[in-house]
Amino acid sequence: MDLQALYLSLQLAGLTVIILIPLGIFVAHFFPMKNTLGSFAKEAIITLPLVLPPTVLGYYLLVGFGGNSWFGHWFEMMTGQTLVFSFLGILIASLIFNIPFALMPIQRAFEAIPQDLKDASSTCGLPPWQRLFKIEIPLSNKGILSAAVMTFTHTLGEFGVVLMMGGNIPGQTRTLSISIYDSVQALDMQGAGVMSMFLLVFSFVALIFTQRLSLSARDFQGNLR
Amino acid sequence: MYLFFCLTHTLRKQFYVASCFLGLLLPLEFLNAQILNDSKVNPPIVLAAASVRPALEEISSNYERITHLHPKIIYGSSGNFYQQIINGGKFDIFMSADEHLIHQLQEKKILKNDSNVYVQGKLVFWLSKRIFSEQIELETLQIFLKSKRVNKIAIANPSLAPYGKAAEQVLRKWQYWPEISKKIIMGENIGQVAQFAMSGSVQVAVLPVSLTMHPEMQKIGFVLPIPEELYEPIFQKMALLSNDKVAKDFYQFILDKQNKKIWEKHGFTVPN
Repeated sequence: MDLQALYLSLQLAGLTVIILIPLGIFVAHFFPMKNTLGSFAKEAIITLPLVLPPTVLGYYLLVGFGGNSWFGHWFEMMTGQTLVFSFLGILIASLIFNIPFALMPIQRAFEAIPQDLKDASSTCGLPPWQRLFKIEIPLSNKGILSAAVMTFTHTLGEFGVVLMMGGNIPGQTRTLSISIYDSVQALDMQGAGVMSMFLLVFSFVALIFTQRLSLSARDFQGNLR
Repeated sequence: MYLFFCLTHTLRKQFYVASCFLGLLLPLEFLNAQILNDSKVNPPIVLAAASVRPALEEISSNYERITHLHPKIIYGSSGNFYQQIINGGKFDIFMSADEHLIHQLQEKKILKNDSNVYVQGKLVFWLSKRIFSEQIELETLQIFLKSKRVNKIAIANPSLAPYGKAAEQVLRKWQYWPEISKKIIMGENIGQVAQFAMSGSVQVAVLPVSLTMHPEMQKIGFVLPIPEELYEPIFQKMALLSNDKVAKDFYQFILDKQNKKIWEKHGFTVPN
């Protein structure tokens, strides 16, 4: 088992969750779903990484952030590092790729909060930002948690973009799923088998956990079902 | 798991505490790793053609024993690496499976340092023992390739891997190319082709000698050498991409004459 790759994968997944979950809450609070064209476009953008092949994303990231692009060039001048084939590069790729997994469950959880509750809170004089912390987040914490678990698990399994953008450098961009691919090509079936089994079990447990979450014991009015 | 368990069953206060804890822990770990990496000598990052994998593993472990530095080696197809270098990737050494890619890099002025031919590679047919009961001749193989008994032939992608290009040259020389070409499966690099062969998914694979020497590959297949006049000679060239001192050191170590035995053991010829 490639422990270095495991550690790197956990780091990548952890950072992705930490950055994307607050973003998800922000978007769900300030841009709720409305019957307008702009809102539909926003929903479409959020869903896009789910339906696009990872190679399309990988291609645009390479073109947009590569050493030949103006942004990549500028970044290299500023920091002396390249974005492609680096940990920062795969982190950016992973953030974009996980947008639907982090944002959609949070969005749905926020939408499920009855409008009456929000109206009541406003009537009682609660400002919107307090409404976020006192009403919206507590009521949708199951959605937020399942978003975090899905994002984490999905990052561990990410392959195409990371390979295109990261280029399989040990200790920098070789994540667990790429290490499996590499072991298979090195004819090291046993190593690949152990890592695959780990991912299989981990994902299975995570999914059981999210299923358990969606079966909530109380509804929003606080009544037992 | 314990963390997750806690979160489901407790109140939101603990949820916040837990997420704050997670939030603090991970970036610190990340920073730590960065600092640790910077404080010691960085091991060189090497892009190596998949064909040299068994030999280079041996050489790099020798290097590690002497210097206690573990070079980071990435194996893949030379064409793919060429793209990565052009796209601005920062690597130290590029060990291509041919010389053309290195020359192209020199023309583009991306390569400024040394480049040397380190080995010459040989191409062979690998034949699955499930189909072939005994060692056969090249002429017989041509007929076999056309027949229904062989339905999949694996080569590396000719546009990415020099060994794939050579394999295509060999197969094209034969009169049965139209029939054979329909049976060809392409691996992304030569390592993947070896994996197709070992998993029993193909009956015939065109591989460098080095990759057919794996004990498992020997057990389940025959190796049939290909006459060298059937393909353009494969001179594998390597180049130094950075001016890093450790990278230069490892570059010289790979080229060292004492490695000749290792290369030859894995089926390569070392030029004088």
